[in-house]
Amino acid sequence: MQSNIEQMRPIERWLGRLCDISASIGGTVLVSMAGMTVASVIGRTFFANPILGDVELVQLGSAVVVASFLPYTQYRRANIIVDFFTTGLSARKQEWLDGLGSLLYTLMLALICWRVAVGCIDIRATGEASMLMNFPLWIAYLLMLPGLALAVVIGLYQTLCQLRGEAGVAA
Amino acid sequence: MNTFSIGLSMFGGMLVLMALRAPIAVSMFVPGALGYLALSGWLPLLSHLKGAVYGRVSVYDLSVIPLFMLMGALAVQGGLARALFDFANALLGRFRGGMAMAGVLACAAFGSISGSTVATTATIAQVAYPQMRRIDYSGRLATAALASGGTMGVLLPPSVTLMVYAILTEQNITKMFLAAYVPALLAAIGYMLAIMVTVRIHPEQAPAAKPASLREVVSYGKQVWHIALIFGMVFGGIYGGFFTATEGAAIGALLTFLITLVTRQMSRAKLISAVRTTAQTSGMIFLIFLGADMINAALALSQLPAQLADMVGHLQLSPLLVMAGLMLFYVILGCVMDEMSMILLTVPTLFPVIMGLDFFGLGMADKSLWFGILILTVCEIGMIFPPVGLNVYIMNGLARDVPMSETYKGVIPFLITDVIRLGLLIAFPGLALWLVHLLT
Amino acid sequence: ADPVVTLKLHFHLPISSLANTLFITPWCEKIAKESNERMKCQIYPSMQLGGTPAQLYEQVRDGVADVVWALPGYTAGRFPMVEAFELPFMMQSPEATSRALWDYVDQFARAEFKDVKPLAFHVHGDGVFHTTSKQVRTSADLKGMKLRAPTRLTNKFIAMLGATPVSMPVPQVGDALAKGVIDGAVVPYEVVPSVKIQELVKYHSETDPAEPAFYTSTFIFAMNKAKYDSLPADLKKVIDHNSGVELSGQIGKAFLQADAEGKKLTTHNTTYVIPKAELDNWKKVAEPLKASWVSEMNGKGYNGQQLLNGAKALIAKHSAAIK
Ligand code: NA
Ligand code: NA
Repeated sequence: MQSNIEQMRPIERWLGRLCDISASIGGTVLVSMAGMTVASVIGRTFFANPILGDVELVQLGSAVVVASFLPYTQYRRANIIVDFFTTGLSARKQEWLDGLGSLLYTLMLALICWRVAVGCIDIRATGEASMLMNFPLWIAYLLMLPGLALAVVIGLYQTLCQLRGEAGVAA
Repeated sequence: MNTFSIGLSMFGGMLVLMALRAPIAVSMFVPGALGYLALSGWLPLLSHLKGAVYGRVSVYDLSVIPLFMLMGALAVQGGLARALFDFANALLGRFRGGMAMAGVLACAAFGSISGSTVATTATIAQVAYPQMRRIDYSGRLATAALASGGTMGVLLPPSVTLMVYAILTEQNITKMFLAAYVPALLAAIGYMLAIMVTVRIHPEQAPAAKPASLREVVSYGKQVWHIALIFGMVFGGIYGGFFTATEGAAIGALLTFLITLVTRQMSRAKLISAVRTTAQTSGMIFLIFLGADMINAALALSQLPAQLADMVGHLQLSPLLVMAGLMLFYVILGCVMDEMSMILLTVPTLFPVIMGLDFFGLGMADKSLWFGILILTVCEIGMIFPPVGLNVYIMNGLARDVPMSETYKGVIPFLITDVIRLGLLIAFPGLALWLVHLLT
Repeated sequence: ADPVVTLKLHFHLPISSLANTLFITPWCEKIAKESNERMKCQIYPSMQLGGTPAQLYEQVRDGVADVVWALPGYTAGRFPMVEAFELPFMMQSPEATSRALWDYVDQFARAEFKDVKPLAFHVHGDGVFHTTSKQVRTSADLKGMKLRAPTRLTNKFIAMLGATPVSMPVPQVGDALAKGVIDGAVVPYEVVPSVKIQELVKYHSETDPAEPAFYTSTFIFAMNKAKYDSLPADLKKVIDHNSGVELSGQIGKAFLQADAEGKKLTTHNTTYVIPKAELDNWKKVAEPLKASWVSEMNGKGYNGQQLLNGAKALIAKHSAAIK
């Protein structure tokens, strides 16, 4: 993905691969969602026979898609920042601030990941399912967890690199 | 600390974090979570997060974002977006700034049906932005036109936001829509003027006018008829109510993929690249949603909007001064909220305050319609107003080669027309109301 | 003096909804008055505190809100026992059925709501078809129609009648109607003003008022348990005095009144009453649904038939008492 891929540390390459895989999984789910939706529209339009529960499948799928996409975004440092007020600072100071930003990101995602995990257990116990297909909701929660957890790992790694002043992943 | 100062501290903390380069989503989330903690305690905060995250990422209407992102990325990778824009440019390139105008109008059309300024800008920009850059639009004008354009749809029926306002204030939806047409038209005229003036003063912001011969137009047209058909079908189908935005996006994404396969312009590497772009931008947008949700819930809890409304009600100020204060308030809220959150959070409390004031002797029904148009206009201004406007971040996040300050500089002419339009609407309520009176 | 207790009251409909003006706000005013202003509500309408309408129950259980007004049916599979009341053709009078629902939960389904302090259970009035392009007269008219339905069983029933159900919470209905995403919605008249249905559709089809409603939804009005336990004895008493079977019946009655208010707004549209003869056909369609619900419940380890009979008996008992 980068031109200097040979110079990357093994762990960076490894994390990059994981983010890629996570994004690809999200992409696959997204394409399946699109396919299912189109099948439902065709069924509804031409055969008066849509897929009952297409909407809820999109809802469940969206959750998995978004969670799987989050680590890749952070890996590419594509979560937007306002650089306007800090352009005068030295590169080192900017990187240090970015390290603090990454630390807060890590804490945010860790909190979210933890709570979604708890929510997963909780909702499994209560037995909530989707309206028409009776699809257990806790599975959607569960499938969000790998993406969220990976985002935490990426955030943590970037925090360490940035605070130490080393060129981080996917700079 | 009372709830009011907690509410204000959250805002302050957010601005400080943003200024210190924390990601925008994080800058909203952290003070929001701390504020929630202070207002409600640990257990409610932890419980809130348990469900709220899934609640936000599993919204059917928002699934259009990754789907349209994918459609756009496939069109870009397969060379279709380029071909489409070459065609559009052959048609519109005879005017300097023509493509920027087309981008703004595309945003307006899509915005009125998507119901979200943020989703609109992200969707249209995905396709339009790289192409505008390729034909030598400056990053400043390209990002500004698309960020501003995204705000236009909210006034254009059948905008969901208009409907929500009508429901909250018990107005007739048809009348609400009628009241919005002229202001929406004014917005379009204003933005077209902003582009014309920008390219007149700074010709380097847009490529020189390049009139194309009919033969060129036709030859480009032959290359793009299929993708033009897809775009037409998708947007027409959504607009005509044949399918939902999500269904349209799904159809568009799959058809675009099929065309790139048939025309042999898709490869494994390009497909992977399209998925990566989709992942990167969708992840960025949804993380902001999660951050905004956190601070919005905390702001609701702090009752800041209600308390401000209360203060305003007690101050016995002149109506126009109250109005000016309100406008400022929305510009500030636009830092963290999309228009729907602003409306849901503020209208129930502010509406009675406004209804209690006299403006030009307007009757109750007229006053509510007029105020609705004003409040939606200002919500949208808030979303692009410096130093922080939600829609500007989103646009700038898609344009990674452009510094935020450039986008803001570009937005200024658009904002000027917004402010002039707002002034006109305040001074002449008839602009919003005459069509209502004419047709009902 | 003791500090004032503020109850965070969260629900999904707008502040202007009839549910709020006829039931929630009056309840708040009543507890404020009876507690000498020592207990009051802070109302958060339109899901202002975040989350989705389906998450309201979780929110009150976990203390995100102190009091919520929620629909058990929005979370399929979560409250299987109260579903008995959402089967087709169960309800005749919302007041009597709401009382019956309170008793039913008390007798059979307490376990389902053990994590909260229920203040009331109730149902809404008769479900009505509100459609944009075609009047519903017979089930043939439903063929191919995309209809919004609220709960798992109503979704199934509508599908069995030939329509395409789309499930969504009430607040999304207006948008979906305006954009043509759905051709109609089944909701009681009471919801009409809160989503402006009267301006978005042309036709309303009621069912014969002498017949049981073709569907209703159950609601719970509940308080966080810890919040209730933390109240001083006299405030607990105020809550106790404003909860239970009486409150449930009052809310049911308020919803009947709300239906009348909502219906007034639809006079410029065309209204049709689906006669008993047609409804008898529908009842036949509904029989397998009831049977499958019973066996589903048996599969979950309940006695499905006993629950269904229990619900019917309680509804009959309270209906007789009200007449
Ligand atoms: Na702003
Ligand atoms: Na940028």
